[in-house]
Amino acid sequence: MKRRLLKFVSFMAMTGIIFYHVSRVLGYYDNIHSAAVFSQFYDLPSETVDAVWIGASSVQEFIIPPVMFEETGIALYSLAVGNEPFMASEFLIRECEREQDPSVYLVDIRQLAYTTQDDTYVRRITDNGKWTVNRLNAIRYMLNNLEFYHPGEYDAEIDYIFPFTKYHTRWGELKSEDFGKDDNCFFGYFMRINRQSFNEAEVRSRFDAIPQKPSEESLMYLNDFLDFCDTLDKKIIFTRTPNCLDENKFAQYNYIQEVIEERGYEVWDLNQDTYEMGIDYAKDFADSMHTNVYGAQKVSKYAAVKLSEELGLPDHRNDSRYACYGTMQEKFLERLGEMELTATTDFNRYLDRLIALDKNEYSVYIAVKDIQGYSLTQKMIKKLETLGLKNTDILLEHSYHSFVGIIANGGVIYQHIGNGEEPSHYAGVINGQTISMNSMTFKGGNNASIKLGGNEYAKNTRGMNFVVIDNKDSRILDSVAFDTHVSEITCTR
Amino acid sequence: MTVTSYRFFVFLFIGAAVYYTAPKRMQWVILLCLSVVYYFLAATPYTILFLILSTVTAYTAGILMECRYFRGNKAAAKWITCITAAAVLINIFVWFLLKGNAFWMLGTRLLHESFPIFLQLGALKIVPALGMGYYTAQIIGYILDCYWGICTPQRNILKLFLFVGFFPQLTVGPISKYSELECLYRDHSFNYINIAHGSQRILWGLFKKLVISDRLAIIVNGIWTDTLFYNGFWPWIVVFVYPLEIYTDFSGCMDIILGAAELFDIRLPENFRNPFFSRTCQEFWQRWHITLGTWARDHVYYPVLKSRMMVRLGKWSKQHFSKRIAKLIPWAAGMWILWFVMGFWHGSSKHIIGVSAYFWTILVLSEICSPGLKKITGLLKVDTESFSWHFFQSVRTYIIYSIGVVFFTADRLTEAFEHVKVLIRTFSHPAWNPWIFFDGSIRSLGVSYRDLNVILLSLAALLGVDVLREKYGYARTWLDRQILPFRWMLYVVLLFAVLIFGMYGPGYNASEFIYGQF
Repeated sequence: MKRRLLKFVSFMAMTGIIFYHVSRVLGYYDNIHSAAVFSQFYDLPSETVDAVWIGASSVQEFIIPPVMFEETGIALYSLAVGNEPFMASEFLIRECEREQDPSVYLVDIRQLAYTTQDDTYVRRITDNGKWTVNRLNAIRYMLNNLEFYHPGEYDAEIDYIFPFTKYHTRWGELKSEDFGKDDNCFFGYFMRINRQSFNEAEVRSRFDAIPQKPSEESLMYLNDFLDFCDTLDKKIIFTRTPNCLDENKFAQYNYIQEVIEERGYEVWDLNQDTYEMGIDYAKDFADSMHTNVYGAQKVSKYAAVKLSEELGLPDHRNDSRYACYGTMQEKFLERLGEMELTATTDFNRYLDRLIALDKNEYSVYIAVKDIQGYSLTQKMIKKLETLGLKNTDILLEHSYHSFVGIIANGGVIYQHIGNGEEPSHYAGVINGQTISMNSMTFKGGNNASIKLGGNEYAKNTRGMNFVVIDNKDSRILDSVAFDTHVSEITCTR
Repeated sequence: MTVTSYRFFVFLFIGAAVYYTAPKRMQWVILLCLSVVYYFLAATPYTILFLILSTVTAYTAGILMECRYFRGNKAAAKWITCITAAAVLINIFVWFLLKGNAFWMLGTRLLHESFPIFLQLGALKIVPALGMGYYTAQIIGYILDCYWGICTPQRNILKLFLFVGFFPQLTVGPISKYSELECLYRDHSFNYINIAHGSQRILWGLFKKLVISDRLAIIVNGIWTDTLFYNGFWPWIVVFVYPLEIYTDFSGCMDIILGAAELFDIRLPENFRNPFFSRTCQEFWQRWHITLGTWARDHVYYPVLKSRMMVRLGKWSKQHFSKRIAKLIPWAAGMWILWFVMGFWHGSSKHIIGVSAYFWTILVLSEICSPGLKKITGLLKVDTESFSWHFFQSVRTYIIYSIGVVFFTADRLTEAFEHVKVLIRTFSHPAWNPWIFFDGSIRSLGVSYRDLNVILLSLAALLGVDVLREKYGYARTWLDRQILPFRWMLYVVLLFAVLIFGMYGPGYNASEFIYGQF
């Protein structure tokens, strides 16, 4: 009997371990990296975080912890995901207390002017949290509130407790993020690079909007949370991150700020400090609600200094326990470079970005279709030469040239310029990957092909076709073509 | 609470723990309590009264049969017959009132008009009890067995109630004989093997239901809903896929039920024995829904054959026909009654006129043609024991069965005939569309290529297990001989196949068991 019991326990343990890993892979997924926000938080060395910033996308897309670390050496984590319900704040603080014990909590109030009617936002928190009593309480509290304020059809409580029941069907759509490889989450920060311009004076005129009461639901969540804060022996600061929302929202935030201050808590309205931050309303916002990565860097640096000076948070830059912040900063810059590259539509700038890439970490494949283009300038040719390509001034000639170039492993490993109808070809193996390239002019076949491992990646449009690969994982970083024959050098991506 | 819900498994776990820790003489009481609790969780609570009514009628009949006044008193034999008939008729009547549908509307309308009380009952919208078709058949079997002296009437009404309402079999049977469930009242010791085997069987049932059947249901359900669009070869997909769906659904549920009973050291009778390996239709029905077939054979077919009318018919046939035909006539008549009762049990006109008449015709024709076919195979020197001949016969049986269950997929008899018309239209020119099997159209039904791959792999696994069952009686007999790491690997693969590929959780409405409606 003992032997059988041992066998049974061993089998159950083995199954449990497998289930744990399978359920992590087949877990919550969204395109705003919520799963990584939590997994990176849980992976941090214990008791290393000085401050945690809680909020919705108003924090997730504003605060870059590694940038703050580089600025002043403070260890902050942005435990925030898009549309994070304010009612989840208490659970998140309890979770931080259990995992990290930080001395400061910053809680953004943005979501209090919005209602949570969608259980997806609840799931972003509960499905990614660890299996604790705290999580169970959070599920019950949030579901009860949801059902009270927004009666509707929600999943059964058991499906929140065991989210695997919902996500097991994702087996057909797994991505690298599901296996823990999320390249666009930096201790809670989610990078956006796009830009939307706003009139600064117009936005500033809304700052002093007459306070307006938000919904009863929001006030209930706020009061519940303030009651909880009263029981917590920690520094709690409420924040308002910069935004360009309408006057109605500012009016509500002004009201909420009054309520919070009446209860004796501090509110940092960072909208008032955008001038000191150096925020450019024409360039630093991705939309009315969020800053882009350039705005976020400014907010983060400003907040880091403010936290460091006003609250005296320590500098950990020389502490080896905080090496992960340095590593994350490197990843952030690398990803920023990649995103800038893939967002660039100007040929000159594109060449600049290629020059800035580490040629050991990235491979660049170039093939010309139809014609190398009469709009190429001496400046562009110089940039091609800076990339390592030789004799490219031939391309300035007003005649047809095919062209194939490969930049990899730190330099140019192959290039060929053909004259007239002469095509350029390459076939070989680079970094273990089969490469085959073709460049044909208009009369010589009119084709540009860049095949990696048998798959075609070239855009195959007139002018210069580029394919950029990340050598670490052979990921196609960019595939773009520039029509260098027309004066405006149009970009096809 | 369905038998595929997590609540059921929590219930089973707690139930088994209480069952084995309780004093052995109290185990049947625990099972009784569990059955009542299960009933309240799984069905409309007040409908338990119907179970109680069935139990009381059967108990009263049994006790009266045992009564000293009636025992050995030839003059009182008529009374016993009357008591038995009354008990049987009460059960049939209650079942008929609550489960009869379209075909019986005329009858119920007459009833309503003649007796306004029924109209009032109809307005109450009384729902049938859980597993009504199954326990009614079981209790009728018990009453008749007591009447024929096959079993001794149970003197404890609570024990009889347990026989009627033993919780695993309330979903889709099996229809057990009293003698098969007498083990309910015995003492049972905890046995690791029972737990292991029961769990394996439950897991295999879940695999059949959640991974295969519910995926096939997507294909089947989509087609009949729009026969204008899904014409040509589309309905033929239903014809050949639906038998697989119904088999994996019904036998999957049976595996869960038998496994659940095994956890309590109770062996319920098997309901399936690889029906798709059958060489003939007759064999098929000996392997498919075995307990219903056995029940109908023992309680309808044999008594009918022994009846005076049949004996007379046999004599008359002998006088007027050749020996073979004379034998065939009473057999065919008896079979017709058997199939009528089977159709009647399924409770609708489509079953009686469609399925039952179809299979009765097939069986009679095969009996008539059998000598001729034997001669032909003899002349052609066909090795009837070869694999290829067996395979051909199994495929033939599958096709015959598939066409027959077209009636099963319809809601009404008229709709079933519409389906048959659609099938026949396939061969007219505009409907000819064999390319749907190759151009990806199949995905319009809502199944992806990934789902199709899962279906194909799962069916291959099902075939493998059924081959093992055919060879060893139980696949576990083969499995138990394998080394531990291999067995564990299979369990883990099966468990995670169910967890990952199963159709359950939010966003899925686990389809009801097809046989749950009876």
